[in-house]
Amino acid sequence: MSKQFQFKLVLLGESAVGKSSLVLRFVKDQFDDYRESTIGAAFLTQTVTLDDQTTVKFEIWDTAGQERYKSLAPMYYRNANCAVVVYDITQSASLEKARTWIRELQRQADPSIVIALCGNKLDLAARRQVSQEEAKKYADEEGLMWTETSAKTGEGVTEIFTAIAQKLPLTAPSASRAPGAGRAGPGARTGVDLNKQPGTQALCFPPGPLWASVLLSFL
Amino acid sequence: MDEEYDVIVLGTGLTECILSGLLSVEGKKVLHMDRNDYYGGDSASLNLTQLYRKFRPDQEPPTELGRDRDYAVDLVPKFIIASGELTKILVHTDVTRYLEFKQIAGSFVYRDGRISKVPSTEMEAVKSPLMGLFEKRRAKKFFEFLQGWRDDDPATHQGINLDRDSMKTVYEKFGLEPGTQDFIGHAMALYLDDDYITKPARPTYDRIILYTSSMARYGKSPYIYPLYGLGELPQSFARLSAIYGGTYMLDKPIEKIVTDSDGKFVGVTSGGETVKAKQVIGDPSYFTGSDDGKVRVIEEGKVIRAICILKHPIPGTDDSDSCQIIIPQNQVNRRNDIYIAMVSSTHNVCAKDVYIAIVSTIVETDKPELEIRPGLALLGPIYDKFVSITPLYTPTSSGKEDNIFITRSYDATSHFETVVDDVHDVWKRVIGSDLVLKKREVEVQE
Repeated sequence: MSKQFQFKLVLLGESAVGKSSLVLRFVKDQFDDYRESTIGAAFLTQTVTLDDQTTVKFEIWDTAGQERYKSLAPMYYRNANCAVVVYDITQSASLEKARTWIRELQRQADPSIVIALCGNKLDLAARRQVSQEEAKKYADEEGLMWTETSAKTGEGVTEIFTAIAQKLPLTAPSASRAPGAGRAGPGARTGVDLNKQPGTQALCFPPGPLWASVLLSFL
Repeated sequence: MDEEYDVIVLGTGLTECILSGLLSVEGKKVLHMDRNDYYGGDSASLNLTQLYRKFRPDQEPPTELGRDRDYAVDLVPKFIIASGELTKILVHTDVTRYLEFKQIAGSFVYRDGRISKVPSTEMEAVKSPLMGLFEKRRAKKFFEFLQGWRDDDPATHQGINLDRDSMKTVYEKFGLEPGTQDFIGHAMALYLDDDYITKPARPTYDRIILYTSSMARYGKSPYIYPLYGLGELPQSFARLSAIYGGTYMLDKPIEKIVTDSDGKFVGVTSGGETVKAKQVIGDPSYFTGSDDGKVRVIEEGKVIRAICILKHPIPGTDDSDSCQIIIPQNQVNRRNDIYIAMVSSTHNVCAKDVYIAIVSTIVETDKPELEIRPGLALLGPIYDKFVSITPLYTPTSSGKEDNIFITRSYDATSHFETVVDDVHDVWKRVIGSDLVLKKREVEVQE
């Protein structure tokens, strides 16, 4: 029997390091040189197939610009299973910023979160300011996954998401804890669904309003 | 910060965040700022560190309360009424995708020294001590009348005109006892005082229908509550605003509201820099001091709120993991009801085996702490208590003349209906037309 697991993945990193481009490449296999900041998408989803039996669906949250002025809400980190922290290999300051985000994740996110450090803009390696050795050493010290990518050429992009999928604990379907579209099946969610139309049992009181059932049982 | 915005929004309380989200969706260029380094303003939920920093700056949270991050303590005790206007906005804007809700387990009402559950099942109704047998029959006639009412069918009106006759007339027609009137007016219509009795019956009719349809929706109580606390609500609307291009800045003290020689809004000064915009919307706390001698907000009263940390559920509630308790004013010789709102680890707002109850009422005397005693007395031993007395501000003008639009403080009601009223009111003042909620197509790629 095939199994699908769903995980919430959050993107972090300084503005203009290519967070949205990375996701756009992964989800739609597109790239746009003059891409404006993301508008209008609550989150994107993409599925990675691990083997015949197993697929992993990522619910990918972009920062929507809220990272710029110390304004990312705790909600963003809430129940994140994995994070991709992006820096720009041509800007050494962006790795410093990535370190700050990783500290923030270690403070705010679930301790079991899988974190990948990702040096983007590999197509601009000629202007490299961050060496592979430096980034890898830091990633090893902090126990992070690490790779370099180019959202522009697509190099390394699918690989990093697949590597994350392989590292996530696929123990039980209940691992799909991410809120949102993919609340898998009945029982996955203990709460109430606001989109559900009100009480079916109340509908057997036509043409009166739904509340009649409660009152009549009360009396 | 040299850009010019359509609207600057000050404060990230729920009212401001809903407005910011709706304005951004509408295509307005929004800059949203808050003096605090957290979201939510007066409607925030705080972790332990933030809670102590706010109420006891020189004290560390006790370690026995557990992990800081497990806490999301609401500053304002409110629940979401299931079939109410906030639910509509949550669904229409699709911010429900960021939130998960649970029911509040029960609603209780205080009568003659003890609390009883507002019945939600037939079994509970049979056992309920709230009415005697004959009174239940009279009440049944009353509820059947409300249920059967059709505006366009005079045969259902039984000689009553909801728009003209007072609620007193309606109560008398059905011969309902004062205790039953307390129950209907305070535990179901959720009036805070008895002023409604002499007014036309229509709004009370509407409120009873809202209550009962909300009760019917999920079954246990008319209320639902977001996991991780009410502070998730402003955060979710802030994210909505951000994904539609809204710019967010927290931790920005606002030094000055800049106006021109005609008194019209020009911009906001923060950190020595002035950002310009056509309009400003803000919560009253940003407008209490006035740079130009103008009084922009006035105090309409005060609310006292006592956040109580308990190590046990509230006695007499069948160990409910969450509840509302209403103490009708008549029961304790007051003008305004006392409310208790309690949530717990079931709602991911505190550590396991901890319960957070907030006792609140509208202040009537110069000793407000004594006024909430009947509420505190129902809680059992209180581990710790954080008391605030908050002025309720309302704007002095519509803002149409100076482009300064001010929201209202969070009132003493137990739900968010008045917050949504305020959103509609401010929207109309800012935009000039009614807020129409359209179902938004949301981009979710599969």
